[in-house]
Amino acid sequence: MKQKQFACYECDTLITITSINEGEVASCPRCHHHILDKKYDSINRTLAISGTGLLLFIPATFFPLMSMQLLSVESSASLMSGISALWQTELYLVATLVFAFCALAPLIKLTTAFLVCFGFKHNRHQHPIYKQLLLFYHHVDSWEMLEVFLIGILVSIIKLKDMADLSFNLGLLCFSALMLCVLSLKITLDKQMIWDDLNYER
Amino acid sequence: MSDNIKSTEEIQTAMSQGLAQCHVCNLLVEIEESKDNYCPRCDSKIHLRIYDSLQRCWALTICSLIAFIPANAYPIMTILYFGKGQPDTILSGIFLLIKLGIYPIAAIIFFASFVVPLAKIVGLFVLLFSLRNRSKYTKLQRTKMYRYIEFFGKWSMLDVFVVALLVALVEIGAVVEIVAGPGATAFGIMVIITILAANSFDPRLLWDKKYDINLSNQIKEEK
Ligand SMILES: [Zn+2]
Repeated sequence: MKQKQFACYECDTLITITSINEGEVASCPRCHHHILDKKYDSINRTLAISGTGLLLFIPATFFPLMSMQLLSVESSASLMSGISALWQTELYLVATLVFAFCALAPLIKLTTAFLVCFGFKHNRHQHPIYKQLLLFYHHVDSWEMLEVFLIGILVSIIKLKDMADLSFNLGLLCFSALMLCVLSLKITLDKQMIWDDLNYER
Repeated sequence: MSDNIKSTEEIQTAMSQGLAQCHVCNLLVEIEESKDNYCPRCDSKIHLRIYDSLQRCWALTICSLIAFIPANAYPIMTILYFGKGQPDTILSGIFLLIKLGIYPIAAIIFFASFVVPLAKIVGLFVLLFSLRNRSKYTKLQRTKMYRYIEFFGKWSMLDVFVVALLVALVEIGAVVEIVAGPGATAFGIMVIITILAANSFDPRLLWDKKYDINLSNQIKEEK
């Protein structure tokens, strides 16, 4: 079962796409919005990327990203210590937002992508749970903000660099790698291919 | 574009064929007007256009304009030296950075925290007004504008993340301390509302004949 006819999401133009090769992109003739792109070796690459991301998740969120020294006192900050510091200063909403956008959403994306591709590889993806996982992935997709947080780290570094001695920690490396993994999902995960492969006619 | 992609000579929309595309899994589904439609593949609800898109987008855009005021008026953080310090709003923080000569960071924060949310709100108003009146922008230009609004949305969270890190990092007993202010909460709320406002706008409305003001005027003149 392969879908041939599509409607552009941004201008509703009907388009027939008869075949598309790996690495090609089909865009809308009227508004140039990307309608379909077929990815190289999607399942294996997504499994590798999301597996790496999941391994990096704990060190990236709990290891200190950077530390500063001032008058012989040292303090360090990780993503989680930032969230708990906000929670302790009674900014519950901000703490929840940072947690949801920078920890929970990326974790859900990595986990669901991994599980769906794992199921696909072993031909078990017809089970209804995989449909739910794909839906889950779709819903958190636009709320993931790791790259914004990384720029936030850079801004903090420059803001503080005159005030104290700053040093970077292993956590920053893990965090950057985690961000690259989550961003790469956009390039490797071919949701359309998986949806096309699901049996839906009952 | 590949040669394998064909579009009918005269552009046909899915709606004119009684079809709608599932927002989640991209399946084209025949729509029955009289009842709720669900996607047979992923069970999501399907509408020809986002339900109540314009009403929702108007409401949320006005809300985000209102939320923009406390987000910029309240201090986002305070730097305390020996227990004393001046609370900083986003704009006063930017002025401080300019005074210290850290121009690139001042520019980044100015863009992410002030220009982007404001441009988003103004852009959404322009799009909404363009559906009611004749617009000087083409449909393609307005679609691109919508794409930018959607793409840059999350970057406004930048300053909130900076505050989160600074609060955690700078806790050196009685000497220096950074405390987050109520502006951070207001700012987070504003960012969420603007993202929801952008999501509730349906770009397909820009291309629908119903909203094609020039065309409907022509039809009236012909009559
Ligand atoms: Zn669907």
